[in-house]
Amino acid sequence: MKTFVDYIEESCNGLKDSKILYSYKRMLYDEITERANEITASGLKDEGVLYDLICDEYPNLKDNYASYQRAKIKEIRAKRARKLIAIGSVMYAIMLIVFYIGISFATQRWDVTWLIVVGGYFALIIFLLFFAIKKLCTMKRIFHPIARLLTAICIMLVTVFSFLFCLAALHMPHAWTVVLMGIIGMFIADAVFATVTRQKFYIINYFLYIPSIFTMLFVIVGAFGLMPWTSAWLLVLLGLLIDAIIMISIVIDNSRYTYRQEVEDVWSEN
Amino acid sequence: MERKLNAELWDKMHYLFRDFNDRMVHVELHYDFEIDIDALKTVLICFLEKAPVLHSKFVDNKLSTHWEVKPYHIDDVLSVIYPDNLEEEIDKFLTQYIPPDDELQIRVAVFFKDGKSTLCVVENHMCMDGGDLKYFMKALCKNYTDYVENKVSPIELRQGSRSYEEVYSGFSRTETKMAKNLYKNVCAKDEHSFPLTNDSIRDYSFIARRKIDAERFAKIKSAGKKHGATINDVLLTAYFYSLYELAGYGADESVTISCAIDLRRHMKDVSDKGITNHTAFMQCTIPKKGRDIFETMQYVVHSSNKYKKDKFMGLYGLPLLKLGYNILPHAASEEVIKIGYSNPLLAMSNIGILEVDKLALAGNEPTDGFMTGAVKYKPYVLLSATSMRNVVTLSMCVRGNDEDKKIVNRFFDLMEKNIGIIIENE
Repeated sequence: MKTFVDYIEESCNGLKDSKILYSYKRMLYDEITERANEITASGLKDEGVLYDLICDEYPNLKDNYASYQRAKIKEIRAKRARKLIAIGSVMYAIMLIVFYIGISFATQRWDVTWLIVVGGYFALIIFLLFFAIKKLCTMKRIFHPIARLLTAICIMLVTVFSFLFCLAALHMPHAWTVVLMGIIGMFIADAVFATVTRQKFYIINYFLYIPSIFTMLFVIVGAFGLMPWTSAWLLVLLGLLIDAIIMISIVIDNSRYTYRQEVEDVWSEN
Repeated sequence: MERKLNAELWDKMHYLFRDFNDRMVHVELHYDFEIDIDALKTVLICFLEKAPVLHSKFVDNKLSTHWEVKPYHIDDVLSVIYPDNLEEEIDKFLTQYIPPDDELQIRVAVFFKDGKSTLCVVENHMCMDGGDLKYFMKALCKNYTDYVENKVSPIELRQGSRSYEEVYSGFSRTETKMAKNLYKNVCAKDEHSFPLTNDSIRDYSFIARRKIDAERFAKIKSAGKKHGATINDVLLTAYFYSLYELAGYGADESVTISCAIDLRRHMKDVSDKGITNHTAFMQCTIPKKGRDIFETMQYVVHSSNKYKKDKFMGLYGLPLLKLGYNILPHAASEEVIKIGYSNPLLAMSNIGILEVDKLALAGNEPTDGFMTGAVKYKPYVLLSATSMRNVVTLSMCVRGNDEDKKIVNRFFDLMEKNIGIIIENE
């Protein structure tokens, strides 16, 4: 009578021996043993049937090894990358301080050089958040809202830095508009995220974001004097118009897939 | 590690039906030999392992629902009974209720008496419908036979997705999009009901049956053919006509009976699909009683043909249900769906032929048997029909009292009388 070890060994015959192959076989064996115990506890006495049942549950062991191997290699690389990022981040933080102090002493522009620290740390945070977002995107949909929130935080960090830079370094009179631009950026990024990751009802985001974006554009354009306030408000209307166009096009597209029952409703008179 | 399974749309819908019926599906098969219990246990264990939903507990935490796979022992699934009164014991077994939060969703019993066996199965409709239970029984018999006769391991049970969306698997992309756009609320609004007594806490579940012998069944077929009606249409006609007589509906009143339809008709291949529910209802409406039963039959044929011509028969309303369950927490979605859903007061399910050759256990064909749907709570009723060896079994599972039993039997008398009229000249 064949054992599960025989089944695993025979199925994996021809595969190149390695540490990964051993861990694959060990994992299979542990899983199979646990499953066999579970089924035996249900009252199955015929060992031949148990063997066939388990083999049926674990087919294509050789083919599955390829994906296991890929996942394992990816895991090892990710572990290595995490270590590198952790060490690199600490090194970067220290170097940033050294650089800031060095530049500040050399130029004596302490009024602006603090931006190096803010910008540098923001960049580090964005870099770390990027990995978190990437990881969250591969997880279940329930985690996607967190990824969307982190994306918004990244954009907000860029916005805050840009605002501070415009204010402290460039002394821009309308620096506050950068915050509005940042919010526009957040909306666009969120809409793109929802579309690319095929979120449910993503179109609702469009309907909410487009008029909001155009309202903010109206304020920005008015503040910079690119258009007079009296006519710039038309941008808000334009936003609503785009919403309406999207809505109509969806209805038209959907109507192509409307099935009209070709049968008469005989008893409608009742 | 705890295994969880998705609660599919139909699982949730049948869970919602808890106010209307006990959600149990029943099978009874009689054999002229003694079933090998050890072999049957082996087959059942394999099947339960292949269909883990059958040993799972339904969890409703108000926000969402799922199945939790639970350990079990085969002795809790299969009971071996040596009854004094066979019929009584069978009825007692068949009318049991398995709560959704039970750790086993199926119960099997073998009754031994006078060298003969009766195999009975009760399972939760949330796990599978009559169509898949029929397949399950055939697979059980085939696997039992192969195991007993040739020592082949009994592992041949379909596995795969239990999702309702599998009904679209046979459609093209455009057809699928069309079908997924059928946001129509299919509502069986008809106030006509079966004349049962009022609810009482003394009510008990019973299964009333009536057989139509092979001779009359053959005549039903030929009479139906003559009038362009299927067997289903003929039975439905007798159902309508008997109801008018039993309940005393006005002859000019329009009445609707909901008929179960198997949505697997839309699928090209079910071999890779898991055991699940794929049943919807079509409303068969007649405008009035008709001057005689043959006019009633014309109305029935007309009404059922209307559905048969429809490419998306039975698929209306599914996207709406999906939307309802998707956008809201489970408890809220149930409330919303209840507003739009009206459970049919009168229903019929033609489960079809139980092929004796496919239900043979080690070469022993069943001598008799039937399948029936859930025990309905008053005032809802469901008439089930199955046929075996050309004998039709009509059955109605009701939670009622002795008076209700008499009413149902009176209804069967009327059914027989009306079928008699239809086949009079055959």
